[in-house]
Amino acid sequence: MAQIIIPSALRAFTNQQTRLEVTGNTVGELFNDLTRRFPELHRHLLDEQGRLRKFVNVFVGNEEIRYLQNEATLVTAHDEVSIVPSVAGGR
Amino acid sequence: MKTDRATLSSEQLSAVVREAETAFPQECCGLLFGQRTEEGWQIARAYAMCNASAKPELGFEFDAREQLRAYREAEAADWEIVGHYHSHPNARAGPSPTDLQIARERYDRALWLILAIAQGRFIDASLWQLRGEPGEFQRVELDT
Repeated sequence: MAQIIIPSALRAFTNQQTRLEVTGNTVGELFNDLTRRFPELHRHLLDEQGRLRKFVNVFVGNEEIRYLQNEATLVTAHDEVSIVPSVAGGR
Repeated sequence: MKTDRATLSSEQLSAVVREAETAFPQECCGLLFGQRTEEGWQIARAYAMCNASAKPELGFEFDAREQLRAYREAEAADWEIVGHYHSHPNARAGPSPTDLQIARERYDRALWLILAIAQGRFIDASLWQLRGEPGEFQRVELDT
């Protein structure tokens, strides 16, 4: 199973777990499995259509999925997937 | 657990102040590494980041790839990402309407350290966290 690394800001919804084993052949399937097991994560990660929110950056290893095939990006059991919430603001 | 106060060493705050003054009239930004304890947050390190905003005089944005590197560095050092910081050139040291809008949109409940810089000189710093639904910023006491 691939491993998803949960950022600090979202660990309140995963019982403070940092790394989770998830099942799926694509990034989209991994996130479906993750949000099925931790439903409170859904609104933080996915929109009403079940797609990744635009302010959620996802990396497979060192590669950002927006430069691959987004949710259709294939993953293997050895992949490490990182969630990196976009941070912005200003005066 | 107390969530209404946080500690940050004067050395770390001074480093952020220097960074904010140097970046003027642009905004500086970075992450806050640390941990939550029974006494509140302990901010161990301010980690400077590039401002990837297309208009850095008006706002800040992290580069996702640099952010990933920072996350890995924090994890390797056994720290959490407890928040982030940015400066407000010629504006007050509190959350702006833009800050509030973005924090609500992105469910950003991290600590927000905001520095006011006027004409290149540090004026004030304050710490905030979005609480409630849809969320209002509340002040977090900062001990240095």
